[in-house]
Amino acid sequence: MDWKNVAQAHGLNLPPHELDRIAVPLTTLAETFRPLAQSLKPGDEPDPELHLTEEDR
Amino acid sequence: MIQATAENLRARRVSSVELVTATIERIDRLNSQLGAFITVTAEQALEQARAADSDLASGVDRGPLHGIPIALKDLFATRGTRTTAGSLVYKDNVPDFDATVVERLQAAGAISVGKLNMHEMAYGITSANPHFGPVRNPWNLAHSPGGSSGGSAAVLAANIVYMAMGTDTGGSIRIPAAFCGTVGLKPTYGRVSRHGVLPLGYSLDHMGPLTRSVRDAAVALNAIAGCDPKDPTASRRPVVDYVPEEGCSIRGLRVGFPENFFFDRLDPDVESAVRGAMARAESLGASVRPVRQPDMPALNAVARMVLLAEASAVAWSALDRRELFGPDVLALLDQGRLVPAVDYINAQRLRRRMRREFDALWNDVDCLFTPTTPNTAPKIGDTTVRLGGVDEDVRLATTRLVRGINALGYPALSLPCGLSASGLPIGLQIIGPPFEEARILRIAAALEDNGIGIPPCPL
Repeated sequence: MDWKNVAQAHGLNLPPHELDRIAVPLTTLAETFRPLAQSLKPGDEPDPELHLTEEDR
Repeated sequence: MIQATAENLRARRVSSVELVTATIERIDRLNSQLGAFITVTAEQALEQARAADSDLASGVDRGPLHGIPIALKDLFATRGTRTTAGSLVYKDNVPDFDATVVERLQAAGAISVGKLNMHEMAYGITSANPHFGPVRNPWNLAHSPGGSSGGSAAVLAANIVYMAMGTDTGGSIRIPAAFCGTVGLKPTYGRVSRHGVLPLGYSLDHMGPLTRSVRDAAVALNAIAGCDPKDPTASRRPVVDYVPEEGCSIRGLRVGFPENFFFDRLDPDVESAVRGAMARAESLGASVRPVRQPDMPALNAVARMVLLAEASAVAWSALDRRELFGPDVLALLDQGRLVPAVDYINAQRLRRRMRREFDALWNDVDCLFTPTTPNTAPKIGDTTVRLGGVDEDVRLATTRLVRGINALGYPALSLPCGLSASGLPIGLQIIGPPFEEARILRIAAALEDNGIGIPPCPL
């Protein structure tokens, strides 16, 4: 993904060095994250409230 | 320390007014060096101390925190007292309510002497706050105390208060505890109410105490833990007495020693100190056994993705006023606003799956021992740290061993376990299964009782 273009599409018109501060870490993170997401199956559901035990659901 | 002071208060060997007066004098003497307080509430604290003494004299006893000076990270809402989050966005924020944790500490008789400096919006690990000044490490004022709860750790190490509240979204209690040589407890997600604490990452934020001893952390947890109808994620599971008994044993305990990831690229002094603590546990009868962790880099990536999106959602309404933010926080908030919704949801899906994988570890061991951080406190202003011959971004390196535990929600405690050759503290991280705070406190207390620790900070 071209994060600099994405940033500009979001209206973030920043100088190049500031765009680098956004794009470089996101590129690195996406390189690790996206292959993991490929392994998800449709039944893998999110748990955004992080209920750790059944009794708290 | 809290329990001994509580005994002294009840035996009239000292009064709460005397304790608070000494605390304020120490703040006056040291805060210009440490930059640890944003707001000092001296008059209010003295008034509360007089009431605490009067209550005790008339037989009203609120427990071991009654009359004890504490302080609060400036993220906890305090009625009538400014709560800034270390941010210009909230510089004039004066809440009309107390956070649940603050209410509970007040009910337990604790006396807050002020609000503590921190990394801006709790979003970072240096506590070099661009608006309120940097917090400095009492062990070496040229070094960072860690963060984001940097002020909380600094006032403990400098022997100013008995307990300070912190928050931990990606290591923000445990990192400063390790760097400043204090105990830092991140309880299980849901064990301590988040109500009234300005959020950073809704599903990652944990509230917990920093103290100078393990039993002090347990005393604090006794006061703040428990269900709260104002926090929908607070657990309904009953609380227990968290204070370890005197002479508690870890004989027969199964301590997991991670073979992979946690001992990669460490400062040699850190590795030596943590292995020393592990050997001490073994000598006390614990069974140290190697375990292989599931994919920690993957878990860290998931935690980062979740935090980027949630933090930017929290700050969204202020993001068009860019001048209000320091450059490091602004860069992170900009990154988060670009994270696609699909990535955020997939991160939450992966997180749930990974938690099942990690939960299987508890079939084989009762706890894990790891370093809290791979490094000791960096100098203020350092942006990289060299570990194992590799230059790493200081934030990513410092959070490497703690961040993933927030995504799992497990309880974890940082215990001081040594000093580096340059005289900076080192932390041992003890991780346990969900809601097993009593277990990890008992393990930490047994180690502390048997010589694992560091001398008091000379400041």
